[in-house]
Amino acid sequence: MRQARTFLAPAAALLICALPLLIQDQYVYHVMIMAGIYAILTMGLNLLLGCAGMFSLGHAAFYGLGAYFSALVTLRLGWPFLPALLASGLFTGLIGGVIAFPALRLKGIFLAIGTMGFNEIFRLTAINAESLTGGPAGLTGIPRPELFGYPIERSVDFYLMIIVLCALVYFMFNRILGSSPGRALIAIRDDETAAQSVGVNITRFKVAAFVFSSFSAGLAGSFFAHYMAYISPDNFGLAESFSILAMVALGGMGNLPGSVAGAALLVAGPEAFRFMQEYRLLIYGSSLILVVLLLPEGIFGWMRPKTPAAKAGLQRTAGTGGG
Amino acid sequence: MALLEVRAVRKVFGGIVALRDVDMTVSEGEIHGLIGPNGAGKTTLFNVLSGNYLPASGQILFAGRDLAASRAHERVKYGIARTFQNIRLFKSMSVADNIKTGFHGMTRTGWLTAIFMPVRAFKEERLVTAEAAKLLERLNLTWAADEPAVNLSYGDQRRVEIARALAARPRLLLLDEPAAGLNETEVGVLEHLIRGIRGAGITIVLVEHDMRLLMSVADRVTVLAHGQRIAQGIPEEIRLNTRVINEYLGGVPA
Repeated sequence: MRQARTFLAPAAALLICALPLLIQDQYVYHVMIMAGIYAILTMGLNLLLGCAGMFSLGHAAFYGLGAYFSALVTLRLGWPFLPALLASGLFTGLIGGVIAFPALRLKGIFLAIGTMGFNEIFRLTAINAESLTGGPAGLTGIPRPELFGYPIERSVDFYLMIIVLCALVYFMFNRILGSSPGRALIAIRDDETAAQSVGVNITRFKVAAFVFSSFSAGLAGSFFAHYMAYISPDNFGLAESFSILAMVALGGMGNLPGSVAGAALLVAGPEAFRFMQEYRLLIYGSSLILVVLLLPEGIFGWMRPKTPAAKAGLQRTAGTGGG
Repeated sequence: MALLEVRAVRKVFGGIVALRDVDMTVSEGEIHGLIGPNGAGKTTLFNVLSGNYLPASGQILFAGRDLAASRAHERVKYGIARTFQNIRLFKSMSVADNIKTGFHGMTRTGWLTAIFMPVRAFKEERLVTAEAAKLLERLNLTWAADEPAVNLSYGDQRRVEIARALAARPRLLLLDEPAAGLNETEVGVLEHLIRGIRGAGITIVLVEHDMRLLMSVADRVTVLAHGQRIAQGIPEEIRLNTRVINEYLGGVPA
């Protein structure tokens, strides 16, 4: 199992980077770019829900905030793409931090309902604040990105860009989860009282989780806006939040590579079943239920050895046994 | 010298006075027993000491500083660590990760350090891993390092919880009924461990119903009943104190 894990990740990364050499189809690129955007969103929600145990159903609102912010600063203020991308992340992270304070008073399902409310408030504001957001029609003509004087127009360029962005976000969350802040988050999810007893400032860590989670959602939103060149409130409704939630569940709570895989599967999967027309949503829904029932730890759950016997085998291969 | 001085601490839940102006003095380096019948307020006092409850009034002087208003996660930094009556390990973590989490107060890696200074974070992580391994070795738990904490026996889980508390390098360790649910052999191991911790210069406050264990390890004992302190002294005095016998120990004094 250890071997599977060590080889799978580099192999997958290599394949993802080599795809432009193999594929010319614009439609396939579009699906993969969307998978990349959702991978970022899923990794962000995974930090909040999978690691810190905070049930948020408002992730699409942060995604939308980033998209609208980026669209507005480029359209109205003429900002170039890169500063707009970064500023969207920071702005959304800031809003996430502000939202965190009232949200921290809510637990479990009540937090889910509260964040769901936030999602609706965002969507309704986007519909009604017409002078700023363009109302139900949304914003059109969002400029395509330009990197160091090189315009990004072809699908391949967008594809390579989202890979870089995904890798950066992956690195960010991987570093957080691999050091003491990540452990503190898991500690909070497992037992808040015990986490406090080892000195974890629960409020601070929960707010930070909100900030980093919404920061990444803001980046995804900004990229989406400049990729599609058109955004409307429909892109950021509750259904999106639920989709991202399903991706986290599919990938496994707290499992970072799983989040990426979960997003890719749920974006590409329905496309693969397109020939079945309306029935594809039926298949989508029922397969999701099956996964949650049969693989409660997500599609990669099998990778984490659980039995002491498997553990012992692992220890032997890693040479760290002891008595 | 008194490391911990509890002065007139009062805690009220609704209309019930759980702690009625309790005083307690714990000297540096001693094992201080805390006993009393169920509902006497032992666990309440414990939670007040660890910051899980804030007292309505009174002072908690720790090394000369009043901590009565500080919160639970801050107490760890001042040097107070605790274990729980119902073991509270991090369920999804391995034994080693539980201990590593205990080092939280020592670590300086924040969110941004972890991202922008990965080398520094990595070095610290290596240090924490090494320290955790040392602690596991001291408690003869190395074999369990990668085991999910919940798979261990009750006695071993207790020791992991104590190890996690020790990881914070406390000056004062609060043990809440550590012998509860342990068999005789495990209690023997626990007693040895408690003496070893004191030997390392750590002061201990021990709540315990196992009188044989408590009377044998405690240097001094405080007795609570109905939220009040009814006695404080060395175990021999406590055993002969008629009020303590009537309220708690019962029977003929040994």
